[in-house]
Amino acid sequence: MPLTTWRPGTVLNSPAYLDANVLVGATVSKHRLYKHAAEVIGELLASGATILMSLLTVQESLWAITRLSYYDLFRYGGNQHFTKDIYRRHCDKIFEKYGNRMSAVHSALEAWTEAGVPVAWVAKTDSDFLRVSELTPRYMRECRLTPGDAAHLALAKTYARTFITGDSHFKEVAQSDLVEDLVVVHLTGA
Amino acid sequence: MSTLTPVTVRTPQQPRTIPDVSIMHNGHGDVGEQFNEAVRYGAATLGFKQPETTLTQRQPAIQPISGVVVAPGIMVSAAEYQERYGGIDLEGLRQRMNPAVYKAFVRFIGSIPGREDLDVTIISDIPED
Repeated sequence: MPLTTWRPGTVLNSPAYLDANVLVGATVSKHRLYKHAAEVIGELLASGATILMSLLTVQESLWAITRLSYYDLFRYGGNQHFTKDIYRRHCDKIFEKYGNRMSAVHSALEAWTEAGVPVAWVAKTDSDFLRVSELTPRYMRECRLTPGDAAHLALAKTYARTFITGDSHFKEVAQSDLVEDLVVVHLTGA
Repeated sequence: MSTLTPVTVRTPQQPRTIPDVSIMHNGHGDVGEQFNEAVRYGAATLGFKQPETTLTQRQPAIQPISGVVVAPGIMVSAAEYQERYGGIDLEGLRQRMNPAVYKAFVRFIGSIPGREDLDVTIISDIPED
């Protein structure tokens, strides 16, 4: 699987599957991946590439925005411990103060779609779901990926020509021959 | 004295900056008055002598605001511009996108204020416990 580090001008073959850290990376400002995440989204929109989205990407994006909101609520640093139990205890306060953030990803996807950007949701068919559920544990084992990361890779392998991520774990996966025909575009800090 | 300042001419590399616009919040001024001032300013810059006007009565109410127009209808402060769009070739992207897509793009990126100590690859993981 070829590996490319994102730089402006990098050609992104369509369709492209987005890892959640890219979507969140472009939504939230200031962090080290922000500029490149915003640029890569800009390149996808400018080139007319089909953007592949999954519910997993949306779910992880919402966790990220929730976690950031929890940090902001209590003025914690960016590496504070966060659990589902913490979320449940502070859910009301998070939504009371930062509830409008939670629709940021939806608003973007809706606006892109209305503007004519080709956004496609995966998986699409029963047989594709079966294929993804078959590939996911295989990638977990052979690439030592978490279930979520393995599912992203399986979805990308099934549908995409380009997989865009900021997660360094996929750099190791790119060294293997498991997904030969998929280009991994890795985001680094600007 | 005019409260309007000249418009900065837009170049491909430089986003258009809008002039400081005086907004009257207490009803002592109106759009028509600002329009008249703009006309007087334009005439003065073309060499037509303009009568002196006294604005001392309304100066305390004037709250100048300034910002950067990123797309039609979308203006942000200079600080927000730097945070969200600084270093990104917006003009290059704008030229390759249709207006609706460009507008959706600039509305989206950096719409949530972040922080430098954030690692989005970590916070995007679903909590295990």
